[in-house]
Amino acid sequence: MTQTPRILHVEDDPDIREIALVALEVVGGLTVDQCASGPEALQRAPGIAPDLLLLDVMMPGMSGEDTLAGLRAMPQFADTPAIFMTAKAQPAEVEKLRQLGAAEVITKPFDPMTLADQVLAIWERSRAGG
Amino acid sequence: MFEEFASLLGLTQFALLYVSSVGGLVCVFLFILGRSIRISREQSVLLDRKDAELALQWRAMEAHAMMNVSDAAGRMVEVNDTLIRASGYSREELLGRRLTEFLMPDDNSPTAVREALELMGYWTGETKLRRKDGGVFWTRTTIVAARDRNGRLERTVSLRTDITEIKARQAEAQNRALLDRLNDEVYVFAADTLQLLYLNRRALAVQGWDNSGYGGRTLADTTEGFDDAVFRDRVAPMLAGETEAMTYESILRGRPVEISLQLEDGYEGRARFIAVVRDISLRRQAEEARSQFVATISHELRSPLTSVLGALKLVTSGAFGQLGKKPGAMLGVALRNVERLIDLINDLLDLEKLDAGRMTFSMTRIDMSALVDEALAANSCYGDQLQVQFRRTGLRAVREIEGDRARLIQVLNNLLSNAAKFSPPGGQVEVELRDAPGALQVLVHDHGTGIPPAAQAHLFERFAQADGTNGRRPGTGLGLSIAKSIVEQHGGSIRFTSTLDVGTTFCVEFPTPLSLSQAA
Repeated sequence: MTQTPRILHVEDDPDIREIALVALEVVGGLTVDQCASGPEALQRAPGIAPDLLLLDVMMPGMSGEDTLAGLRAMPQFADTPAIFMTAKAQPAEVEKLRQLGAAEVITKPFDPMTLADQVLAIWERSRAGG
Repeated sequence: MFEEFASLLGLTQFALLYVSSVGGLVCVFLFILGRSIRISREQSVLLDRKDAELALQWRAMEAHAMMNVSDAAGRMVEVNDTLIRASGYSREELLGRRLTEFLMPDDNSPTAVREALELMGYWTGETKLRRKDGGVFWTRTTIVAARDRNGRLERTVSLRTDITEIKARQAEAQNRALLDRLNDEVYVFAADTLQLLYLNRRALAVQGWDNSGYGGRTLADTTEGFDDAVFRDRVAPMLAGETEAMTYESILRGRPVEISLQLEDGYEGRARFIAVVRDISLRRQAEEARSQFVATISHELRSPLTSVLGALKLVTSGAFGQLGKKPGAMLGVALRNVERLIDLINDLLDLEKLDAGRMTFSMTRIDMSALVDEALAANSCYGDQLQVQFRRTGLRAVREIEGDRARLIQVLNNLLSNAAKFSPPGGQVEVELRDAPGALQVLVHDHGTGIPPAAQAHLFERFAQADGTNGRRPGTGLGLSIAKSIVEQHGGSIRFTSTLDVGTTFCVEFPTPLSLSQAA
């Protein structure tokens, strides 16, 4: 039996939320909950109990990095695999995000037809301990 | 003999009047002597007594001034030892030649001399002469003309004093006055002891010293924490004669500076450094602002493009059902152009990083053979779209180079997609890996339209894409410029050969690890 993860997607841009929702749910058949900001994610995450975190980096107010730090402070999300999505594709930036404990960094613009496959592959790798 | 000597003195005494630096006493004395020689032969006894003094004065003049006598045609008929020493020519080499032959090309005195001799019978001025060794010597000169009873020019006598050093000092004073007007700091210091020889006004102000305050100081006194060994290491290639100048950036007093160093021989033959220190804080701030601007713009553009690209891809991929032929074609146009915009933004970001020297390369050992396979796999889909087939030829064995994996893939992708783009439908592109002396080559051959000769010279320039994509997806015109920069950052090179309607071959060459270690 293949178990698919429940994903918490945090993204401030409503259009990108919409595209990602279709890409992950309609194209990829995954289960997704979405939040429009870091504080909303911190508030709703315990109720959603996601298996995987998909976080935009540049958000007004609380950034993706700060959101991850907030979630990591909750014991139940201390080890939840996290993927950052960023429009800043410089290698230094990507490396910095990996240092923060991201399993992977997906650069924008992403391909909605392959996003779900990408996310699943990262999740499988994380579960396998990679 | 005696009469000749007396006659010569008659001219000489006059000439000497105009040579201020010879010394008034000598002139007056010789003048009196010359006159007395002519007064009468009866007074020769008196003259005899004066012979010793005359000879002494003559020797003084000989030692001080250069002298030559020229005939009516300007040919030298007599030269003294001082002129011989100063010019480096022998007496034989000088006699019979005109002194004007030894003037530097930028010395325009002959016209003035002719006119002055005609009008006044003498000329005083400066001349710039060429020594036999090619060097230059300046003289303060007086030329006097002697004429016969009919006013015809018989001969001229020229007396010259060497003022080369005075001219050099004047030139240096002028240069220093100019240097004082600079906003950059200028330091001149001895190459061996690093003792300071000169600071311009700006440097003095920065150091807080007055004009006489650096006499005993060295370069170490100008910079806190100055490391003598580090500095000497840096300038070693200059002292070894490998290079005359170098420019490097550093931090001085907490500010970024650009330091230009030049090594030159001083007037005393003692090597000295000239250092120009330029504050580049403003330049750095401008670069930082530009970099920030590019990063921000690219981010701001990428976010909406993510939505546009995502929406178009979802719709055109049939996620919401099949589209009609026309709407599908129109959305296809929109999708291709969004992808082009994204390529352009990515390329501009790369160029900005390359220009600012901020593109980071994580170098590892890479099997180029496997990398070529990877690039072929990544581009096969694009090839299918254009009905172009990629074929691997040449070496298949492991061949390692030192490189940045992602950047090398970027280069190969650029070459493969270009080759496909410029190939006719049904065409084939061969990708060949081969060994070269101390290097590894990747060749990409296409059998397309070829590059027009006029476009070939500018192919690696930005936005230099040649026409001929047959209406297929156009590029940004930046890809090859970026590829070239990336390859060069790897110590490699990129080149091409192309024939119209036959095809094009691009060759990328990388040094192999063995040759890299040998070069190091």
